[in-house]
Amino acid sequence: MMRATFLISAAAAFAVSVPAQAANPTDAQIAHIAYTAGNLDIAAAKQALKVSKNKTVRDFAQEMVRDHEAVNAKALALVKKLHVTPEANTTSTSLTKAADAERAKLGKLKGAAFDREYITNEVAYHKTVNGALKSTLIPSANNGELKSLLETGLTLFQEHQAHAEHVAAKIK
Amino acid sequence: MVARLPTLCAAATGALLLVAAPAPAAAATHVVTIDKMKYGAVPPLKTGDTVVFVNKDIFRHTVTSSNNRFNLDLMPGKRGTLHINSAGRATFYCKYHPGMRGSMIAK
Repeated sequence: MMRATFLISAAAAFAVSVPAQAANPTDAQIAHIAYTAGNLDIAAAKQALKVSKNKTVRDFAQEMVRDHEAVNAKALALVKKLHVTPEANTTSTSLTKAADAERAKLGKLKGAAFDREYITNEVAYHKTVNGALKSTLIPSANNGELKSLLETGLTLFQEHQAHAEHVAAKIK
Repeated sequence: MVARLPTLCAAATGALLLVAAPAPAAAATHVVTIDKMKYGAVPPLKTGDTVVFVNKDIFRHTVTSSNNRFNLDLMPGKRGTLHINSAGRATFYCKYHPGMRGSMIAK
């Protein structure tokens, strides 16, 4: 069982951290975390595409769907090739719970309030996932192809974080 | 996709460095790969050369001039071509991932 868990901060739903004792998730667990993180962001983006009328926000959301779907398709092909079955774990469960709460929160908002909350959360979410990739997931990955995909993912998600920060500043 | 690059601009001044087209025999084709969120290096160019950008990444990328001189929008697996028609320096970036940046110099 994986020991790595994310702690959900009271300040922001996705402001999470990996505790000091977290160590060495397996490749199967890493794959599940990465895939789950991507899927949750796709779901958030699709929610934004249904609600938001702001072109900047919609462009960002479309980018999230396009890029995360590409990463997840690659991840699925890789685990199939490696005969690895992604394994649910406390981290992916925590991410899902936090995303459910955020989705419910967003569900009550419309217009500019929705846009602000969605983008603010996207900044925090990517910051969190990038931190986990850098500190735990990439260093723990054993398979070279998985590590390489995670490294590409980190570069991509850093772009997403920067883009989200740019959009957040624009729609303030 | 093929885009004409009528001029490469000197970035610092914006001045156009127009030169006469070289003899066609001197022209070369250079392939530049885009992969893992990075542009490959563009070798030194001469006017008349062609640069083929090949998107080997799993993401959609663009090769977009910083001063709107050219734009290639490349889906994964696709390629696009720039014809170098003048000397100068051009910088470019990806519209979808603006941290991806590159440059090329033609003499």
